[in-house]
Amino acid sequence: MTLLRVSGLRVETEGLPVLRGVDFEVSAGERVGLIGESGSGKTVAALTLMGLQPEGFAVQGSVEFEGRQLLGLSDREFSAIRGARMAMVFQEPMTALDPLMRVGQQIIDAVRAHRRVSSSESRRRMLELMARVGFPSPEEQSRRFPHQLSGGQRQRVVIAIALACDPALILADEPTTALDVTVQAQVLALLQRLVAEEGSALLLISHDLAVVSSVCQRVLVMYGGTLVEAATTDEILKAPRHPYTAALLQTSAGIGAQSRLAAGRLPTIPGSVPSLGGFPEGCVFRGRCPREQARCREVPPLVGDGHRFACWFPLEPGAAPIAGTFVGR
Amino acid sequence: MATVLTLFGASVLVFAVLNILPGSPAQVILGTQATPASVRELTIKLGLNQPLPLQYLHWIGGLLSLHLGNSYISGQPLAPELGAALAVTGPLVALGLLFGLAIAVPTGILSALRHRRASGTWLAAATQVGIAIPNFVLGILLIIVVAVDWRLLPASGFIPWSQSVGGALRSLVLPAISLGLVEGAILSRYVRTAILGVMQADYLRTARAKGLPARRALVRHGVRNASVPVLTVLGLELSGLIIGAVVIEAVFTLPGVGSLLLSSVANRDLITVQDIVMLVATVVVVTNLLVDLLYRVVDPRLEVGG
Repeated sequence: MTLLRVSGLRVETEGLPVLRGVDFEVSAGERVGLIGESGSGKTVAALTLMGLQPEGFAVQGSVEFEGRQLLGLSDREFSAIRGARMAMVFQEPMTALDPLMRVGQQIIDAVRAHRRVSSSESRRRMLELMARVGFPSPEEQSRRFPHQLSGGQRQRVVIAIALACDPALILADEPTTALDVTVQAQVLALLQRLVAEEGSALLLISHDLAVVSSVCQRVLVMYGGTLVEAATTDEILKAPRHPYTAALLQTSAGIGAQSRLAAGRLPTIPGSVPSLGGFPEGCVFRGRCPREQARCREVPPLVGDGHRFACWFPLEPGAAPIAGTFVGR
Repeated sequence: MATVLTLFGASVLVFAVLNILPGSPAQVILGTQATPASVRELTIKLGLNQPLPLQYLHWIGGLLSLHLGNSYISGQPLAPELGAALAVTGPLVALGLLFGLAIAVPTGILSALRHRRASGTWLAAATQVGIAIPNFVLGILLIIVVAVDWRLLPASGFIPWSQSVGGALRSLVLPAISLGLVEGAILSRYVRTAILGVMQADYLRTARAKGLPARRALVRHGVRNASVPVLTVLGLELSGLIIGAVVIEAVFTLPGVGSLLLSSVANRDLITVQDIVMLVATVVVVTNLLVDLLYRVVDPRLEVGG
């Protein structure tokens, strides 16, 4: 059952495109990864789904969620969905919580935003949530202020807030990026376990292919505000069709791409992500792509049956990854 | 502890500066006709021949035991006179502060909420103009329009509280407005900045993601978070208000602490000047102490010793 259907989603700010027409779907209970370098439009996509895009961002297209068109809803109408049906876990646990309010209260606020329950009932729910995200003594820890918790603990609070009203979809924007490596795996495992228990769908946004592939069933690859490839995690790892996906795989040493590289040399993608107005006409990956030809001046559509990709000259499925091509010096 | 040290430093400074000033109080009191002998006699009587440290100890000891000393000019105890002046200036400053807050908080919040719209820009511009108006000019304007043309409120003078509370309040309205408007305009800018800061904070986005509508999220998280910087400025502004009161009392001929200070300076009534300056210093220092304590109530990150 389709939970979320995004089609032709365009976001512009000051005439510059941030998202250039994005199409994808998320089914109920499905775990989908959205991957791309910083500046690819991942975060804007997530915020736009929540209706929380920054002021001055113009949105076009369609976002259907549980059969309802979200674009064009008033703030009040959208507020009834946010937190209740669709919730978000933010990147920065250091700043995502109000520094002057006890963390327990911030969770209670999330419960009471949608449920007309007594204060003792919302408190009981808060303690239950804190226990579920792994606080050993919720009673005592709920009275802490954010600065009295570690980064990992704060992110657990943010996750508890997202889970407060059993949402059907959780958007997690780089939920582990700001955490210590040792804590990352714990928080990721927690998130994965909780969405499985709740039956919620998860849209996991990350620049880290390892994170996404360990959690998600399907992967969307984003570059320059467009989806360049969308397929199951397996297909993406084993048989990427878009040159950008292949390059991304190579930079994530240790997964998929076998390390045929000379020791001590890290693979990179040549060039850098252009600034907002600096993307080329036609295919957004032009200029950084080794397979570029004249036809790439036309925008390639995202096509395919199941495994979709937007490239005029895709890699052959099953062909050996293009090792070497992308190795920077 | 720091408060006590600050006050001690202030007292030494006040005493030293006023005693370095040329001219003998006894000479001024007795006038140009005085004989050297009578001047010497008065100097001894006032204790001004004693070594300065002793004079200082005498003065400060008096202050600590609430004996403010006697005026050099009238010879009367200072306490009642200062008390009467305080009964004018205290309420004046308090009303000015209230009026300033009453202006600053709504305009600051409104101009923050509308910062992308023309109305917000106009409000911000209006507060800028408010800052630029000197309070005595505003006072004179108010006298001309409200008191002289419309005959709504008294233009000057003060009806004592003991005679009529309403009358006293009426005589303080225009001075308080002149005093508070400028401070309110300044404060409004800080309120605006503080609210804008909260509006851009990540935790506000979290609150919106929970499903709180924009206004409710801002009220829930904005009041406390914005009050931290505003509190700081408020503490600093209080000294501005007290200084402003000196000028405003002169404009409205109010018998307050400011007027007393000015006349004492003119008369070289050094002891009165010293007492008043110390009083103002104490008020400012204590206010800052209170602001510091309030911080700890508002912001849990500043714990004891922090």
